[in-house]
Amino acid sequence: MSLPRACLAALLLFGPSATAQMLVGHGGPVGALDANAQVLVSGGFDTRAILWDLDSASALNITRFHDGNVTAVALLPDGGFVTAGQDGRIAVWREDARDPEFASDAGVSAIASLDVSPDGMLVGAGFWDGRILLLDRARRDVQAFQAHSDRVTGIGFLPEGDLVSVGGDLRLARWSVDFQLQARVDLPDLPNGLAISQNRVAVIFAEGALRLFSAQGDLLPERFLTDRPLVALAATQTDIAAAAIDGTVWLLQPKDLVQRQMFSAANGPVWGLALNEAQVFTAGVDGAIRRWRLEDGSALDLEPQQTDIAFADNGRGAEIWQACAVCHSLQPDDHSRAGPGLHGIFGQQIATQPGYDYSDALQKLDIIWTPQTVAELFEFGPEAYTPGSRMPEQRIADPRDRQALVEFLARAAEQTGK
Amino acid sequence: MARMKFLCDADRCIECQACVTACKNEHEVPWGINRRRVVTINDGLPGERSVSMACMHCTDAPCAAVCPVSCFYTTDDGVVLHNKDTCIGCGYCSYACPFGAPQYPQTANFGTRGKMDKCTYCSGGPEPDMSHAEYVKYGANRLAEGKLPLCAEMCSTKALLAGDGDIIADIYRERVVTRGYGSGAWGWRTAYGDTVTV
Repeated sequence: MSLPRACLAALLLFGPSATAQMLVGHGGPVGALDANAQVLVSGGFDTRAILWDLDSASALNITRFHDGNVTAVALLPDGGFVTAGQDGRIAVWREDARDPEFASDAGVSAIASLDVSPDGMLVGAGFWDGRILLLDRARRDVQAFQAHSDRVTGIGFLPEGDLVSVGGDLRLARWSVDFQLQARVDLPDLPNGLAISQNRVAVIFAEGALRLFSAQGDLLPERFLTDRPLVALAATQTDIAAAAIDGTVWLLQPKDLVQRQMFSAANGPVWGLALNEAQVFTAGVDGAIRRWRLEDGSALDLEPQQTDIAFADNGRGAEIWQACAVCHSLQPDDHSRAGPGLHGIFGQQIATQPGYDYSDALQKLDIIWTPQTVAELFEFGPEAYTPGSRMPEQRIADPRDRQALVEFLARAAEQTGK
Repeated sequence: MARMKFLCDADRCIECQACVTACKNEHEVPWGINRRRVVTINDGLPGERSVSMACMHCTDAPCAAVCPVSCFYTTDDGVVLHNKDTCIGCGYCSYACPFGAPQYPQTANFGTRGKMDKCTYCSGGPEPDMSHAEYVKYGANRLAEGKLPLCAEMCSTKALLAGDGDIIADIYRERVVTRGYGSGAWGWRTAYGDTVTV
């Protein structure tokens, strides 16, 4: 499932350098991060999880295992990492493995949250349907139970081993590893994430508040950071970081939630957030993972990511293309996003671009991409026109918009000589 | 043009779930998805409150701000809708939503990323009003029929109000003055940026 190591260099758009601090390799939004002093693991909408070496800013491993968005990731204390996805699967990876050492079966619900026990032997995952799944790595045993009546937005292991979860049912609950309820409290608003620091539970809320709870669920200090929803959270023993949908990041002291720093990490939402002893890592819509000094929140690097912005011409076609650009690139040989690159698409036989793992269904089709067939794809939708494709159903109802899109693709091809 | 809003009077909700059922039935919402749900806080304890939660059709909708494909739009009535033809099912809107409104389709094939689903304020979607295509994708369009959302119409205690924001705010004010207490119009400030002052 994962890509051959030989392909890694070709897939990434960067090379190691002394100053290159930004981690660029995902094609599309990145929503899940975890880091320690040496490595960082990231999960993205491009269906990839990437393990990064922080010193060289290079990829140690790229996996493409999940069928859909990689929604949560966690590092293992003994090396390796865990990934979880929109497909409801958990996969456990050795640091340099091409295939997971263990993977759970696909579920009917996506995974929203993930954590690893302090000894690394248990993995907990929270699902959108309110279940929590517990994986015992030694026994390769998977058990699940209904923990909440709504999405499990945060999950974490306390130092002594119990599990804490928060859910869309506005509840915080503490569970023993044999699923016995130890404590439960009601929350005043919708929780969006959970992290453990100093045996206390930090929870971010959609109303913009960050609250601390004791291991028994008693409310400790709370801070209202913003009136915009907080959507990302990370914590170590010495720091807590929270981020909002407007790109603002707060660094706070775990004891009393006193704000140490505040900085703007992006113009849009920060979906992924991680900390180690010296740095803060943020990720969002553009797929780049940025680094910031933990001490003062200053940027370590702000190199612009290579984008398709060169093709933007303010026309209607370019406007429509922005939705396509989440999954497709127009750069030559760039298949780093969830879908294949579309550089010079006109005249190509369907599913023939080297370097992209097309679905079997698509490879069996006999379509030459022309302005007419591309327009037909969006007139009838992929479910009817390319049945079995992984492409989400997309239709463009207005024939003028379809025409604008194919004219834009033709202009983009002219710019790159194809 | 009226600015349509929801108002949830937590002092009146009796957790009967009629709003949830009415919504599900009216729009034939698929298994595994509830566009509206009732959440009870402090269950069984003094101060217990229940609130009926769904999309509040926010003034400055966070879902629209974070959508990578810009599939959300606001109607002339102030209703926030999304275009399922454009949605790629990434789920980010749900994380940004203060009310957890956008839902993943649970029985869809995740590999092809199903479309997010959410409350439409009973006003359909971008398809022609009251067309079959609109009903299949978004459910009934009661607003186009001159009716209000069925959840609020069905609410036996009128804890859930729907309609022009000024009118339902006035109703709430009168209630609070009459009964002498009010724990607040739940979610109103978050959704609409102000409070219902009494």
